[in-house]
Amino acid sequence: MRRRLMLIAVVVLSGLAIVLWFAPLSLKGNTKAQSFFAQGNRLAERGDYDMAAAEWEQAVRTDPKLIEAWVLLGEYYFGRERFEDAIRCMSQVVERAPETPDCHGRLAIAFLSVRSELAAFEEAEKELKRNPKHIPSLAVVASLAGSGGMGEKQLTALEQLVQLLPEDADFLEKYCQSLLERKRDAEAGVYIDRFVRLAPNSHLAATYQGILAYRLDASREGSQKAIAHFKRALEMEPQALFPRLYLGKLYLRIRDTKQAVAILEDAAKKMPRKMDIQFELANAYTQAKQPAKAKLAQGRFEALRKDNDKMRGLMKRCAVDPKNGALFKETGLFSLSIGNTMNARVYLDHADKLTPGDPQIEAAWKKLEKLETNRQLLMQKLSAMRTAPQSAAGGSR
Amino acid sequence: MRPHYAPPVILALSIFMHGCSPVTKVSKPTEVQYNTYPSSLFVDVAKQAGINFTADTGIGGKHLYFIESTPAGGGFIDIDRDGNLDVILLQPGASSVDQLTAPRALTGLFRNGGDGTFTDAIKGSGLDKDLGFAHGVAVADYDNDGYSDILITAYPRNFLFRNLGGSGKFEDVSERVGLAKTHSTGFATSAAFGDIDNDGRLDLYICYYSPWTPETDKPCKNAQGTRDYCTPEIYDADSHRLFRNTPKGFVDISKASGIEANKGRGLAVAFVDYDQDGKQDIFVANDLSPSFLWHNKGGLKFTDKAVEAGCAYSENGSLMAGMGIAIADYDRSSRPSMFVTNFAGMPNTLFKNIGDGFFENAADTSRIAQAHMKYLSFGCEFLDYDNDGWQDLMTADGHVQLSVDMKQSVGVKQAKRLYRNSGNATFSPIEAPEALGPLGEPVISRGLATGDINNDGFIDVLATNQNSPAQLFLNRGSATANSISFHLRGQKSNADGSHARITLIAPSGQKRVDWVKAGSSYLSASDRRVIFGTGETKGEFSAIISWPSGTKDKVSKLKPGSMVEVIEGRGTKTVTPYAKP
Repeated sequence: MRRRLMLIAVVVLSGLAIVLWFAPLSLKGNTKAQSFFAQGNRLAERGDYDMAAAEWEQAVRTDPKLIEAWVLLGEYYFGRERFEDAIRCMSQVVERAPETPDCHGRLAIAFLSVRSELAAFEEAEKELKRNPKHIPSLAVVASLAGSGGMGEKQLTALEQLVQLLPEDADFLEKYCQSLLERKRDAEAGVYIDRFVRLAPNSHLAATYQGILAYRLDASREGSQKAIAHFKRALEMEPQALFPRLYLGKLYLRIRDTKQAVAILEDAAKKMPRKMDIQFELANAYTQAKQPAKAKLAQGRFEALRKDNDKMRGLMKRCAVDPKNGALFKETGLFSLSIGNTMNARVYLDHADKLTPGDPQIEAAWKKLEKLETNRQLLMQKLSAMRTAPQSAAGGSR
Repeated sequence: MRPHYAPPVILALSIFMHGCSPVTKVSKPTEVQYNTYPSSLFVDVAKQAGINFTADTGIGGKHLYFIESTPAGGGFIDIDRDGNLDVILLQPGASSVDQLTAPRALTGLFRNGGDGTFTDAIKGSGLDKDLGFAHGVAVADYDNDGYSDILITAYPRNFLFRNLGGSGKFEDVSERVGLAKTHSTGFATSAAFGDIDNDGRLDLYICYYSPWTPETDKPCKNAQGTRDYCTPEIYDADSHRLFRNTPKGFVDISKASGIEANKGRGLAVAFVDYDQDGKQDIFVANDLSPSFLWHNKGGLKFTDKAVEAGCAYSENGSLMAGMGIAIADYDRSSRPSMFVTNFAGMPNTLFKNIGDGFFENAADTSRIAQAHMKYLSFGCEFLDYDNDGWQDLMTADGHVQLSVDMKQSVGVKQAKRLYRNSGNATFSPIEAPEALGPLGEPVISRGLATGDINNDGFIDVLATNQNSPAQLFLNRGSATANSISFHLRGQKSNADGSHARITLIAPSGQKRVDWVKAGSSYLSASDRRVIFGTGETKGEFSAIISWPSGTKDKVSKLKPGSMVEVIEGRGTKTVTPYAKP
């Protein structure tokens, strides 16, 4: 409770900072509205935020052009995690005073909070057009672009984030991952070294070191070096998936099929729906001359791959047919069925707009809420960032 | 590590003993390209040599039909057996609905005069007719009469042209031999001739992409929100065709052989005896469908073993946008490994043949994957461009969409990529502009074929491009023609000697292996002659030729700098020195 109040205080105070930006411009006009507004401010200063919000609501009802009140209300609702209300207020700010510092960025975060990823992405992009160094917006783009088939946008956002926040291990980790995905191994090496220095006990750092070693040196010595990295990663995070997968690949490479089968079987048990693990497990069984097991693993892999193909096909068809509510619903439901919560969110959101009130979509949302955890993690991160001064991102005034 | 390349020596095109009878002569090559790229590895001689040909694919037209993004190919053919490689270039033509079946520009056919010039020989050749929306070409002596014939895949139907005795004239025999009808409403892409039952007659595999029609074409947009070509997932995959060459013509055995069982968006095909059991298997690269490895079980039956063998997918089981295939013993293991080109942002893949019928994905460890990621590659071939004895690799690149994110790719028009085999199972891209020369000029490339156009012992390259002139890259080589090339003529085996395995034995006893290839690259036909780079090795080499029929021939006392013709079973050879630069 105490932490929550602190959060509200922080966001409202940051809202007040924005209000000061308006001060010379708009504290004129409707005196009754200003009176409500001033009373709200006094209550906020005393820490009585609920009462303050009631006054600000009165102020905007009296004078909808009172941007300062919309800003503070938006911040208040955000702090209270009443995101729909926050969006209502911040949308007014965006509409009436689009030059308000951070307004698109704040709206982006609010949209992200209510599972409207597309809207969040668009608002973040708008903010970045005005201020390319707006850290929360970069974070939104970095987190959403990857799943929307805009990997390069994601990479660019991450590149900027690691420049703006060189000590932030989270963004550095994501950047290393993105570079490795694009096989930009030489650059990845530099950032992985930095990541290792920043987070020496991170299993991900050891994992990335291992992946690089796996790729760049196929010799027995190189493979042993990579194995050591992955073993260290598993010591730090015994449940980690990637070290298991790569250890399996490495054991296959050095023809230690017994070890390969053991570790990949373990990985498959932990993550039965991971296509790449089933793929390598099938290879391991084949190399171990266990054709029956290989066939079963291949079958599991093929089934997962077909799901993957179906997902891709549906997404592409949605792009070609953007008004087809049934297609979006099918894509959203299918995404959910295979555990792709990010895609489920995007396509259900769109389906919701095209065919509102569909009971299947409603049920899907409920199921999704239970599955979703990443969003909360991101929100925590973004909320924490909001307490940092924006000057670090290059001021927007 | 900086890429290495041999110091180039400026070559003038050779004057050969043999020549055809040109109708019109073009001027001698000028020094323009040499001056532009004084130290490049290759120089584009197409224009100077008289090859002025641009494939119009309708790209960027009113409708943006999907079919426009894939063509077109070209290749080498020695029409009259004079030893000089002639050139064929395909013409898709515009593709609007009303033009798909309307007359279009002619195919390109250029005869090599042997003096560095090519002559336009299309008129009166029999190929000078409307071939529809042409895609790919395969060249083979299907009737074993000693002369190479031409298969052209096209929408809405394919064509087989029989070479009339090297006269420069071809007869359309498609109807007569049973190849005029197609099972699909869609379009065929690459095709390859190979002998699946070692009966001495070359059978035929044709890749199909999708049962696409202009009516089922979809309007798509790119990431920037503008109209663009669709991605493959929009269209269903198609089954492919396998035809058996019989005395009565080609018989469709797709269903009986098992080929019809799988569907894939086929783009490239090559025959390869991957498990070296003496029966030709078939490797097929599909676009966002798993690759096929049709294992030849004998008795004209095939089963897809790509998944089991480890060449169906790219790393971690991801699909490839497989577009081109190159096959070689790049690591001197005496086994054929397979390279597959891929989309931008997806790694080119090198399936290293590790024996016992299995492949290992060596894309990362060979460095092939990393160097490719911003390119979109189609045609490809292994070629030992510097004759150092290690198979290098070249790709023809160019995007399929009208607008691309420059961060994701180097652009719509792209340079060709040349990867040098370092000899330690890794490749390094040659990126120095002065070395790449015209290979570095960005165009939208599709097809790529290799052959020694001036018989100087250095491999040259033909590249086909979308809506820009075809390129003929002459390898500037070095002062010494340090290679031995083999031209095989089958007797009991197919006349082309396709699939024959050549083992070259160095004076030290070290052995290297290559094969007379049947199919490769993308929509293109490379020359069948096999060139072994001999590097710095002096002295006499010998070679063992293992023919598909089981016959073995041994030839000895071979010196670098010579072309060797071997006739199956006769134990005879004709050795000709390379043409002087």
